[in-house]
Amino acid sequence: MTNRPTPEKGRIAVPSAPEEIDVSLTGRCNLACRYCFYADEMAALEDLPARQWMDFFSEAGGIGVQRLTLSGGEVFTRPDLFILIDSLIENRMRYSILTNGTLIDQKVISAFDGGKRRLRLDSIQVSIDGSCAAVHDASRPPASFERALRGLRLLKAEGFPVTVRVTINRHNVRDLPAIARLLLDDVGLRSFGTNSADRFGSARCYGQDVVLNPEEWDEAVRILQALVIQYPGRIRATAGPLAFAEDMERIGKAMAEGLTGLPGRGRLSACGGVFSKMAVLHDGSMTPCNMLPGLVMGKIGETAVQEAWLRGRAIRGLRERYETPITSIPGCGDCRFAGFCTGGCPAVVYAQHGTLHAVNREHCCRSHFEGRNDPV
Amino acid sequence: MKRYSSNPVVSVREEPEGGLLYNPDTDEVVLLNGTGRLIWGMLDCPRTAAEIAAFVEAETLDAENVAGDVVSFLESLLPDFVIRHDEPSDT
Repeated sequence: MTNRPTPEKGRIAVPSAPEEIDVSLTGRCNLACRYCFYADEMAALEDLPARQWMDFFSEAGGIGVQRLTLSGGEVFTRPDLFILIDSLIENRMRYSILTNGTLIDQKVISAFDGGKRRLRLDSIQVSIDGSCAAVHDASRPPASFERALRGLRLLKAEGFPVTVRVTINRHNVRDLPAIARLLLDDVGLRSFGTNSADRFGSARCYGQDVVLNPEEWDEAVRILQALVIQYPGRIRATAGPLAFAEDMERIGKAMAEGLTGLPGRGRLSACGGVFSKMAVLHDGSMTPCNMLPGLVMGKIGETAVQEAWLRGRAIRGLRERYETPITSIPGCGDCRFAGFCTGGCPAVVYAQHGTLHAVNREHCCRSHFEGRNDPV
Repeated sequence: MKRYSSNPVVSVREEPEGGLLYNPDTDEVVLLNGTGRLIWGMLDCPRTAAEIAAFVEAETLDAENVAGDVVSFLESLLPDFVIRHDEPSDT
């Protein structure tokens, strides 16, 4: 009468409800980071009141959603944050928090002591982009570094499941070794994650100032590869220079063995997130991902979550995209790397091309191995 | 007498041929087949294994003498998914 969950073979099955939902609880933020992907929405949309979030949590828990990732804006600007956390707990879910860390003080730490707030907390991720104020604050308001680091140290000292994300940008490439020393040797984190600034939100305006150019990207790869050797297993990446370099290394090895492709590739399969998660913006708009805020599938309170999840045009389109052969993409038909390609993050692709039926040519196998950078 | 009920913190996600139980306190999941899902629906209040087995036999065409299987199923879900209420016998 019970079975162990096993992955489906072949086509990925869509469960009746998302396992996880990324929830942007507020558009308010006490900072204004120059690479914030959510900046346009923060300016344009209004926050939902707590009552509507609580109704949404009841609906989500009722259909078996297991966890929520709470972000913003900055979640700790919401005075009713812990009321909302208690509501999601009451509705049988776990949660994670993404924060800039600057508003975390002893009072906030103590607030987590109530009920199951700590038991149900999977992680708190703090953004740290430099080993010192000069670097960290280069892409955000002054004095952010000291407050973020204070918050991070408090969380660590109190035994919270704290993680750090370093967004690699033009200001911190050469600071990466010092950042690793700060986070791993000084603060004592087990590991930290990296990605990189991309041309979303405010980075569309400040792109020249924050987004890595090709030389800086290559430099970031060299530095990160050295750090990975110095700190084995302690620097993670699911996007950005390190993730890309690790992927290219895997592909290079496969090619050396005479392979022409790898399992699960040769399709626009870079992101399987739409089979297990979706997002809700701070005005209640439901989207496949909070990095694709324009692809709205309905609004909470007006459209059932399950309806958006199972029948939303945008998310179904992304799932169908997952099966799209790379060779059907204009410009990729004759690519000898097609069997290794997954097309790159759909949100990056959408930002680059204005369509999802495309690949990230800024960082693709062909540009990496042959140095061919077709115009984007 | 032993009665069983569902742990109230557990959520269930409906699936075409059963359901997925999730305990957010322990972050564990259990996948149920159709019969397991049928039983789970009975556990909203405390019931004996005999009551549940009778229900399964009435609702399922080829189910006979399932009492032993029902007890094994319920006991396998203790304590994170199912709660057992041990009550003194009336006699």
